[in-house]
Amino acid sequence: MAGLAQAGEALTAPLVEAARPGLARRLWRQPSGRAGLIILAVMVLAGLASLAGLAPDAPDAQNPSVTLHGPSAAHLFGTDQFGRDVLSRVMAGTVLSLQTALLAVAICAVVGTLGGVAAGYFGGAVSWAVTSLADLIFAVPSVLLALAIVSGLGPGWQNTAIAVGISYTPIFIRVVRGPVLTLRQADYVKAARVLGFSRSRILFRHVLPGVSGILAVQVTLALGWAVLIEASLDFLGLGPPPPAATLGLMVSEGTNIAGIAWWSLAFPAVAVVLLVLGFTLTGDGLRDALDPGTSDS
Amino acid sequence: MTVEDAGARPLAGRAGAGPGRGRAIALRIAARLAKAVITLVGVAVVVFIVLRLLPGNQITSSLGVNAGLLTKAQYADLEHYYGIGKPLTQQFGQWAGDLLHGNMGLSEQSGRSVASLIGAALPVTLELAIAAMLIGLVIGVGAGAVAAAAPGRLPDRGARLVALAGLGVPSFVIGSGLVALLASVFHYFPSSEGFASLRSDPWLNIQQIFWPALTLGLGIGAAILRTTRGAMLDVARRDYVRAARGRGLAPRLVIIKHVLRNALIPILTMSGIQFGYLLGGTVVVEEIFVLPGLGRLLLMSVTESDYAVAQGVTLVFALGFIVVNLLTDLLYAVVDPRLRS
Repeated sequence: MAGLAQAGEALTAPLVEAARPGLARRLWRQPSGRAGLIILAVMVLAGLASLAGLAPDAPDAQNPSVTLHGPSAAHLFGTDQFGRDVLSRVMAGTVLSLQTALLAVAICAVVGTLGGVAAGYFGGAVSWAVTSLADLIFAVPSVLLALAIVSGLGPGWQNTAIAVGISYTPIFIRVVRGPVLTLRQADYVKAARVLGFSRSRILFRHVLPGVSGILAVQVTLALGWAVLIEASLDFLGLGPPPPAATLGLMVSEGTNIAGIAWWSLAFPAVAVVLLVLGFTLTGDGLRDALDPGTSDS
Repeated sequence: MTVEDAGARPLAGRAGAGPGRGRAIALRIAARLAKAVITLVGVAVVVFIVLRLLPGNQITSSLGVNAGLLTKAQYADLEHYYGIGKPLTQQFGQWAGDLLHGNMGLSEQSGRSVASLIGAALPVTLELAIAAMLIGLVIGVGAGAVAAAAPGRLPDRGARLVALAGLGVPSFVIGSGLVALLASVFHYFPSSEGFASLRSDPWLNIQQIFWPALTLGLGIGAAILRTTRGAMLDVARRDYVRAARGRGLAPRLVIIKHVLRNALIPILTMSGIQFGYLLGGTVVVEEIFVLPGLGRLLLMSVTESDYAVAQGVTLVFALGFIVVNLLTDLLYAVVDPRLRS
């Protein structure tokens, strides 16, 4: 796996230059960044509307008189086999997906960044311990790891988030460790050491800002990945149990009745795809905005 | 071969052959092998501990709530029977020792040996993984090369759009869509009883493996496509490619012999990474298409807290991942002679 780590370092090395002013504008100018931001804005607005009670119906409200009705003015996305409004459920599912992904990425970004900075800055035994642990976690495919963790902790969106967060932590460790190795030798960091600044001040005020660009890209990509894994776990029945309105569960239930009610499969599936694409496109755009040299457009 | 020719093909020559090189390579391979073995042992320890930390044990999983009615003596007897009353280190020693003898324990649910369950499921997953990887490589490298040959043109834009879709659409969505489509158009429903092995009915087997392999292959192909395109565009700017063009070499030959060949390293790296994704993906896809492979076995064993099976399957998956990483690292040296010195 040494080859992998090297490739990662080579990829991220040009990004060490941190965010400069005008980043938002440069992100907006990238076609992929703009598309991603627009998609995310739509999804977040849909989620906020659901939280504010603006959805057409309660996500769990059953209505036996309108089971499996196609899309209409009354039910824009149709209704499912219990007569629940698919649009309201998709909106609620978007909220669940987003909050799970945010918690998961908060976990892996904080743990992974601290681990990566420690491994890169202190080297030696710390570096060995951290990277070995990361290699171990990495050797178990992420879906399998998440599966084991969720089955141990039991169903629930917080547990899904913990599982997804742990399985993505090695990526953050790797992505952060490489640039920190370089930054450690940078003149301004050496100067800070000579000036006798405390270790935490050097790490948080001098080293960490140097990797903020890479972190921003990685956090965005990780969010897309977290939505994907979380939805997969829900799909497999390892997420919150029914009648929870998770997008994965809706796709799973929708598959069985897709022949007679395509809308019960199509709309939740499109919502998952939009969430994943939104984060992926924004992450790509962010990478290009931070470093025009690696742009592939 | 002229001097210019030699310069134009940096990966074709065998540079720097010396007397000590053979031993150095052997040493590096040995070190790499040792690292793989250490990682595997580490994974075994982690898997063992994680599964022991989970609430419930063999007794509660086989007796359910009735486990609470057992007397202390009965409970101790059962603990002895399942070998779970002893300290963890002793249990691990027992398990690891048995493992080295090829004994992975018994499944609590089916009563069959874990080794036989894995033996039956492994060929299915292996076939699925290889088929998916092949589909992914054909789509990824093929379309990536076509896209890189004329950046910005219609085929390139089309390929990049497809790649984006392949990355954004999760395999369970592709799989569910395919199952729904197969059911409504061909009235075909996947079922576990009807699974034909490659030996008993090759034609039916290929039909059954194709759709799940395509589901996984599309995602892999998208990632490989993006890497192939990026790496080839990067190589295409190099001087030796311009020199090859300048010598009047046919454009197709320039792309295949010079550009693609020198772009292989990143493609190889991405393929290795994608294989890890593939192993996780088999759980989802085998569940959707009801294939009796390792992924389904793992999912069932985890939901039924059949620890011995879950442990065994996770180890096999980790072993597969470690072996593929090892092969990828060794292949670097085959593809790029500079890495051999």
